[in-house]
Amino acid sequence: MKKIFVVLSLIATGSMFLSFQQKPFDLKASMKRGEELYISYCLSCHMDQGQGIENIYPPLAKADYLMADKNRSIDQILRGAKGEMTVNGKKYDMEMPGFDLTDEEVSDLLNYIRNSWGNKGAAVTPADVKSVRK
Amino acid sequence: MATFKLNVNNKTHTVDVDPDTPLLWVLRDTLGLTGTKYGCGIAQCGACTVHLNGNAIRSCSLPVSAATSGKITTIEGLSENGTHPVQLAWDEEDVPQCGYCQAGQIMTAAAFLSRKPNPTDAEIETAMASHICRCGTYTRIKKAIRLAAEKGGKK
Repeated sequence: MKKIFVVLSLIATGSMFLSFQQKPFDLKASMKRGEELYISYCLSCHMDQGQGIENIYPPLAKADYLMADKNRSIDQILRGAKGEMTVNGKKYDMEMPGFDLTDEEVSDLLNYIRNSWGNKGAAVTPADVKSVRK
Repeated sequence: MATFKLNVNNKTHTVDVDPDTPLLWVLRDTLGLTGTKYGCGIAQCGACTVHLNGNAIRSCSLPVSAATSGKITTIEGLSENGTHPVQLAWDEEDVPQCGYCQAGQIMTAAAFLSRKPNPTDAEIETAMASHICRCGTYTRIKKAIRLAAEKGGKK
């Protein structure tokens, strides 16, 4: 009887330990969810291939400004962007409003943007977004 | 002022306007296509949505100079006589209250269904989330889009 109890409690702690193990972040699934958000919120100005509109809306595709700082991107999606910026050597000066999205949505959106049209960037997790939101 | 050639609803128009005029005002004031509405002017409400090469875009924030290279479709050109599946579903579900947002809502729903003919409810919500309806008819909007999908929203 005692033995069974010991075995059972071992199994219980073992499975608890396993369930607390962090699963690797599924970038592909996140990007897929992000694509839909991109179409709803971003495509209108940044266009379907992230090419933007010359002299007005900056490109996201292969954009040095975008890929230089992921926390800045999180902040811009949450709170908007204002003032002059230089993207791939060209100056842009339009205002982008912030968006009312959850941590997971911002992470999905940025994972799509940062890994499409020739971009390649490290995954942005909901926790990253949470820490910038504070 | 400058001259621009625009393809709107399969017709070529030549317009003489300032290059930074938003497409919305060219559609409404120059071409007299007043089905597309002005809401917020900063691409946040969706009332001014039209298609550019099949993508739903906000015409209030797109300078006319950036719209010359594509096919523009407005609510007037979505179907010959109001028989696009989304329009039919709109009618059947009696969606509009004041109707101000509906042209934009319909244009986004049509572009969305042509990409995703069988969407889930969650996908409909994501696709339509950036449209505001001041009467709060969201439940009927969603119902109509589901109905259009069932009846073949792809056209």
